[in-house]
Amino acid sequence: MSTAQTTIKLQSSDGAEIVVEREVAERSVLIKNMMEDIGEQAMTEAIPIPNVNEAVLNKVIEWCNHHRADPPTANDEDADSRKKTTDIEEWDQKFMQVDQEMLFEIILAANYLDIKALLDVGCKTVANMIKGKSPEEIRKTFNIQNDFTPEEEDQIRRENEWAEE
Amino acid sequence: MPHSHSFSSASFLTRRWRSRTDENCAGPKGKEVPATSHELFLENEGLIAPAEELRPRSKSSMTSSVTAKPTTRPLLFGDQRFVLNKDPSLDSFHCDDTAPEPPRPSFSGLSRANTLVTSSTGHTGRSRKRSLLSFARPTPPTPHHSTVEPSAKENFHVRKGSSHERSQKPSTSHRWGRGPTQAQEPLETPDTSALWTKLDTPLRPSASTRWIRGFTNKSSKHTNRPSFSTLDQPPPAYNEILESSSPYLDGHLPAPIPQFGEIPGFGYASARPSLDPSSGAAARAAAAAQNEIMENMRRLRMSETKLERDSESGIGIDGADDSTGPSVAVVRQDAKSVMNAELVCRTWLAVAGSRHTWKQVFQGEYREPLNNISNLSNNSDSSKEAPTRMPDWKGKWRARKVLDRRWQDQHAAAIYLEGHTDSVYCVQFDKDRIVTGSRDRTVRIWSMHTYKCLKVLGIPSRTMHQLQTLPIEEDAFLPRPFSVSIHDQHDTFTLLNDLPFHHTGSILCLQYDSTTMVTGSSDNALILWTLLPANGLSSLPSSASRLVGPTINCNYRPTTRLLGHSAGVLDVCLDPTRILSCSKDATIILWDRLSGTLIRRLTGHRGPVNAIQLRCDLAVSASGDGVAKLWNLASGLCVKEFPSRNRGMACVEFSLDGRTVLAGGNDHVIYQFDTSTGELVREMKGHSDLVRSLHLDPLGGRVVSGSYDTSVRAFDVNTGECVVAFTKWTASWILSAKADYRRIVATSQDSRVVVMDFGVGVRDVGCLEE
Repeated sequence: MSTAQTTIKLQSSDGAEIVVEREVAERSVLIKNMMEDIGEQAMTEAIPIPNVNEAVLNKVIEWCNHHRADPPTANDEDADSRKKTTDIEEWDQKFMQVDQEMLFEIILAANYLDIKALLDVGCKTVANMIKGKSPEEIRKTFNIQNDFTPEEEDQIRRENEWAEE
Repeated sequence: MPHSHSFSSASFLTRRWRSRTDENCAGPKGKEVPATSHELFLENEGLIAPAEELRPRSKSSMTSSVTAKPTTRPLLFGDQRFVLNKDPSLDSFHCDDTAPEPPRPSFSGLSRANTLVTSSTGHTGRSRKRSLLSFARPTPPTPHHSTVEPSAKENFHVRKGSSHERSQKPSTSHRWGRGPTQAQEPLETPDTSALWTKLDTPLRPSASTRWIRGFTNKSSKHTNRPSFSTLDQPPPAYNEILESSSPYLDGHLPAPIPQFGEIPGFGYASARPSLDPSSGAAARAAAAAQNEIMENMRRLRMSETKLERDSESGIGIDGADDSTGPSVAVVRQDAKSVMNAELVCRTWLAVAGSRHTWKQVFQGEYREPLNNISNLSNNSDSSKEAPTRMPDWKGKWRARKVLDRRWQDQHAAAIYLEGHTDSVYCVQFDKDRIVTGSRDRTVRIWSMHTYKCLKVLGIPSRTMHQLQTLPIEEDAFLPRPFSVSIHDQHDTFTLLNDLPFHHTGSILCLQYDSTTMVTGSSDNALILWTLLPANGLSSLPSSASRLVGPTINCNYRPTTRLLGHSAGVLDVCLDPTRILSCSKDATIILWDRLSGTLIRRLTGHRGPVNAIQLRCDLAVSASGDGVAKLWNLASGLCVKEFPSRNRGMACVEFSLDGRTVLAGGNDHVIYQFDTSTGELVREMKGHSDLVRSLHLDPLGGRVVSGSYDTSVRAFDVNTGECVVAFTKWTASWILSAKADYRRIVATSQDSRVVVMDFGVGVRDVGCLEE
């Protein structure tokens, strides 16, 4: 990587320009691919990230910065073991201690920017919010209204009863 | 319609089982079986006391029949409510999943949005719901029409410079995943797809946004909203939203976009379609819903004539295709959590109860129950087309759970296969068939579905004219859709008469894979059989041939005789290139599978080699001299010895990882040795006589042992605990026992084969074999 091109500019959806080290920004596969595709042009002009606002983008960059040295994630073989655990490393846990809206914005941004590891962390965080909770607790957590009729609810419960013996 | 298709196979079994029980309450043949002599050296060598020369046969009929175990072992089929009042025409393993096409959304303002919402929950959702849940009251086609309308108009936020997706944010606490945003998305797409090169790309972020919307309802109500640079604007009316977005979509783009317009997905979506947009039940749920929407969108685009660009070059659709399986889930949630999520609300039910979700649950807990043989056999006919039927993952998971419990409770039905006229020495089975070899010098192929004897290979040791009775009674069971072509009497006879050669002694061992079977006999020879697909099979509909499995109906042609042993061949195993056999002559021979030439003779045992197993370049053998040996096949040298405490070894088995070796014999225990150190790790106790047979079911993690104490036991391979003990299910010694995830098949000296089936009557158990 040439020293002259170590930083790039990102433009958030709300127009803010954020200067990022290229290495950090390239944690995003989207940006990385874009850099490869368009080369020089990307260095001189701000890259618009129209789906992510400044606050979220800053947060994402914070994560990328912390994880800049992470080894590249292995491919699908690893994916399987990744799925099995909902463990989140400590720094990420703290990082994800944000309100729900921000959490989901981060997940969306990670999806959009194609940052798999961050997406994983976000999804695991949500998964942990669901895990072990009763339906009523889940509804409370996510502010969801129960739209089942009592009969329907009963029916589903009965369907699943056999598994809980 | 196929509302109950998934249980039909189970119900078939149940009904058959019950009908047989009703008909055959006479009980098992109470014939007395005296101890007899055997070709097996371990018996002759003093491991067992010798017996008289030939035991009298109380029954010499060659007719095959099946009798169910009588009611001495009470069986309760808790799932019978699923089989009552069922249409018999549904009795089929093959169930068409041809749910009607979802209604194609039309473009007409709001209605199209509603159509999409309905079809996204209704399309796969409805048919699925019916089979899984059978709501008494089916969900009406457009149940949530009213909820789709924006019900509250305050607190809509339009962000400065943000995309149109963010142009609204309902504040009411309706369910996440539903709301104006969802209704709006489909509207965007036709325009965007006309606009962008990569048509699918706009879908992903917007669809993901949709599910986020619901989640964020709550926080958007908060007074201390996060410090986004958002512009709070008065809530636009719904039409205004549509209008305000349409000029934008028509090409009035934010300044930088045209500049990068050629970059795939730039600005509006990820360039990578295989993103994992979600996790956990909620997220997965959302993802599944998203996929369904995308699927609908794809259809929609295909029917959209105004599109001139190649809409199928889209990169976003592969993840949405169900056949490729979900690439959407990142985190596996446990079943309990998923079931709780199903109870949250209808939307969650639709997605948490979806195939995607349950596939993850199932795969998280179980490995696919397909064994190698079935996989291979599918290949051999090149008929391994993508299954047309979507697996019912929740049903699979449930069936596995019930099976697990039945294993725990030792709750199995017994199905006896009768036909052999003497001790049945060896067995191998897969999901379609059971192959047994007997002292009566024949190999029999039985259908796993009907339990009928399909073929008899070899000349029975009894008189030839008994062949007349060979055709199996046709009406042994209810006919199955495929059974017509399976049993071909003419073929059976031709085969018998045309056999160029056959064994002239007992069949002591056999093993088969998709193309080849190898048998070993007390006539000192091995015979290689080629499995040829039967001619009639191609005329069957492909669905039927897939059901049966291409090789169940194949012809078995003896091709090669392997001569080299100077005494009976006691065990044999094969891999894709080699065959390994062991004999009473105390040697082991490695053969080339293709040419049939003798590669190497392994010597070292001082007694008959009773059993052998092959794993890559390692082999392990058990001998009557009381030692199990580990061999390096490349060098032909014995690399390790595992001594028994006192007496001869009769059976041996590798653990799945090859790190331990299991061996059993006349010490009545099963030894577990460490392969690398040679040390005895564990002894599994329970049998009270010689352990004759060992088989590891890697999927179930169980070791199944058959013993001369007439019991079949299963041990947990990790803990060494005895988890199943079936004693006295046969009248005499168990000579071989093998197991898979749902059944144990054991053969006995009393000439019977017994299938101990834990899956009889289990709802949806059939779909485990798809």
